[in-house]
Amino acid sequence: MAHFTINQYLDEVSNAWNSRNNVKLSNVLSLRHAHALSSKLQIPAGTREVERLRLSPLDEVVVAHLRVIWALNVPDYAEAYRCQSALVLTFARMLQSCRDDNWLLKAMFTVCLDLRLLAIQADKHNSSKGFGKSIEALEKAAECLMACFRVCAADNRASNEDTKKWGMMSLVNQLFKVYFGINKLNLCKPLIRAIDSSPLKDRFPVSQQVTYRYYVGRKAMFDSNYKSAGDYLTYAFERCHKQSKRNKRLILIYLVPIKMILGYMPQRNLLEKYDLLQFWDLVQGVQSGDVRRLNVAMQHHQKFFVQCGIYLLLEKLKVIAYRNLFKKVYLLLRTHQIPMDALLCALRMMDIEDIDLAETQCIVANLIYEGKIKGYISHQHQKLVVSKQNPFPPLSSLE
Amino acid sequence: MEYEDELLVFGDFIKGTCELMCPVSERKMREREKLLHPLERQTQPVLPGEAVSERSHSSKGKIYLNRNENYRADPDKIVKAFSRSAAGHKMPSPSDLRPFPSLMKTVSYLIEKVASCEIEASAWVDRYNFVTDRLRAVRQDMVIQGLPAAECIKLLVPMVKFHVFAGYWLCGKPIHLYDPKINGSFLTECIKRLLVMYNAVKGMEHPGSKPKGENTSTQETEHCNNTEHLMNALYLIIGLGNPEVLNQASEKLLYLKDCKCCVMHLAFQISLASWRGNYVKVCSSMKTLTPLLCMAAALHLPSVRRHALMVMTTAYSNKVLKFPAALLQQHLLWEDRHQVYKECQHYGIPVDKSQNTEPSVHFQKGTFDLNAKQIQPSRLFWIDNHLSNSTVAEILLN
Repeated sequence: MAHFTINQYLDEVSNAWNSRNNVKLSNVLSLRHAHALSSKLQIPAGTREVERLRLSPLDEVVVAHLRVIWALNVPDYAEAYRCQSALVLTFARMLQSCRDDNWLLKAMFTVCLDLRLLAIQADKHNSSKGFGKSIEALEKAAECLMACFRVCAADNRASNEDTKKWGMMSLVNQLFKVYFGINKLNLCKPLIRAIDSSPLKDRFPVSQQVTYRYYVGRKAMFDSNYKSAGDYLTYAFERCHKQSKRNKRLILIYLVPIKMILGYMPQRNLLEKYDLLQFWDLVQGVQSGDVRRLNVAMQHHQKFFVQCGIYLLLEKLKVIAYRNLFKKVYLLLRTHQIPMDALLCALRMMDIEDIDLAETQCIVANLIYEGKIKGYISHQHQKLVVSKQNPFPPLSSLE
Repeated sequence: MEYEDELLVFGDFIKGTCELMCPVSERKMREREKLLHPLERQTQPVLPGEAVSERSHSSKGKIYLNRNENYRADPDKIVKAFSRSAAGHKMPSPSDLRPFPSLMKTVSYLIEKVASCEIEASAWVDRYNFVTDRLRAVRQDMVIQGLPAAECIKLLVPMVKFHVFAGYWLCGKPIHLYDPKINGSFLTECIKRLLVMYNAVKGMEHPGSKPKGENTSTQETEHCNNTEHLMNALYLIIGLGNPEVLNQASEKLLYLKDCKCCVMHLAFQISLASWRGNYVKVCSSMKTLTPLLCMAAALHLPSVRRHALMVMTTAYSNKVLKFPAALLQQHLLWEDRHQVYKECQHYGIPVDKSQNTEPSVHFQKGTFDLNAKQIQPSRLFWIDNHLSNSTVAEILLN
């Protein structure tokens, strides 16, 4: 197929179209399929040959596709990207006009994925010209994807088998990838709502659900909803195909710290298996209330954590390390009335120098407020009075 | 596409030729249509009881104008007004647009001669509205002409500072005089654009790119860097405790490791403390900030205090024990005891003002009124003490 002539190729197209073969149609429109490499298809304008097909409205799509193949060979990424966006918009119109029918969805997934990948390439190319990081193409790509999404989401009339709503989750996933890439997480909200309110919600293919929950989980994490973030990411991790080790690792990068915040520490062999030992020092620091060790570990792997976007999350871990440290003081002193001085002293031992009693009280107050310590502070006596029963409830038992 | 790149692609931007702060055609039109702002008119003896303000002008305007046929603009004071670009508007001609030197002159005039005068007067709000509108017109000219990033930076920095100052100075004014939301959106617009411009300038320093604006000497880039850190710090403080802003900043700070003393680090630490709910640290570090950053931070005090009181209601909850009001005042930066009482009572926290004991606050779980609206921010003496006409000019211009 790598040596397709234009006529062979067009025969394939009309074949796929006339026999309504969704896989074939998706293949002939894919940029990742062998035909895209054929030197005989690299022609700047194939309008006349395509017109022979008389397959309106598909012909417009095919012309654009050939143009993209040509542009990629030049290579002119900006032009390739521009044509692919035009292709997707035309495709969306075609999709809309096919009433009570959804066999085009597979091809739609393909052209949309290609669009996103091309946008990344175009941006990369732009950035390499030396003007810093560029995201314009990716931003614009989201608009095209939204055009398709609207067509799918608005298809209310068709029956359950024929509705284009089956295309929603895949598009939402593509859009998530774009929004996370351009750092516009607020735009995810309406998409999540659309899926949540759909009756098909739990019936989409598992692979799509895994991706979907990975992103919804990360979004929840940014919104500080750690409980639901944990649930989404756990689902993603457990259902993710076991051969997709890279994906599993990506999920773990977020799942591990979230679980730690919720009070579950990972095993060393898990971290080892997925090459995530960066977390191990953190685990030990948090577990033993060794704030100093935690700080050192955070500093040491700072770059990795920042690039994953979890640096802030780790700051939350510090709170848990404080709780564990204070618990140690409590166990050492064997009293329910812990002097604030003792807590301050423990913090100073952890190399936290610029801290005073007022701030110590503030840290303790926040812990009590969050339910991580049961008790109250007596300002008059400068003491933390903890509950006789279960003064440091296990984190996993909290809301 | 990045900004500088856009300039290359869309290459042909219109270039203004107007050397004045206001194009001649606009001046004539506004004289004819009687649309001059009081701050733009030729000074004439002000009639008793006639304050120089736009409102008094519009209500009594006509009578006033009939008596004074000599309705003329002062050419040194009139500044191009903002007009929304909309359908039906012609593309402005070069003579209506001001090139960078005129724009810079305009900004300096607005900040130095208008904004930093009579700041104590109640009519300063009119100056604020005037300057806000005219700065907006400057931004419009700037965008239409696609000025290079280095020039945009010079124009935007004073604008950002102006809106920060105004946001602080006018806080607590009644809504019909001043709307904090609108000022906030201008501020975000300016600072976001500014940060993009800093990125664009960095792109130009990248080896292999075309050298543009070659005359930027090393001295200037050094200066630019310091302001850049300050502006990044401001962005952090404006979005105090906002995780998204913090995340972005954490990336930037990776490359700033050698600049430990930098304001950006301090701002990051304060914002982080706010995110963690550490109200004591937020308030104590706030006092170490420079006046400009302080002004931005002051607007967050009500939310910091609200959170603090909410936490303390639970953490210090006891039927007998009390918390001294004096300490609360000190930790949360209230200026006098009455503010403490007022705010505590506003959130439903009982206050003990009896004379024979030390005034105190009685925290008890469940008393905090979650439905009570957050209190409006107000000005602080220790910031105001730094501010006078001349210091404001200095803060805004340097």
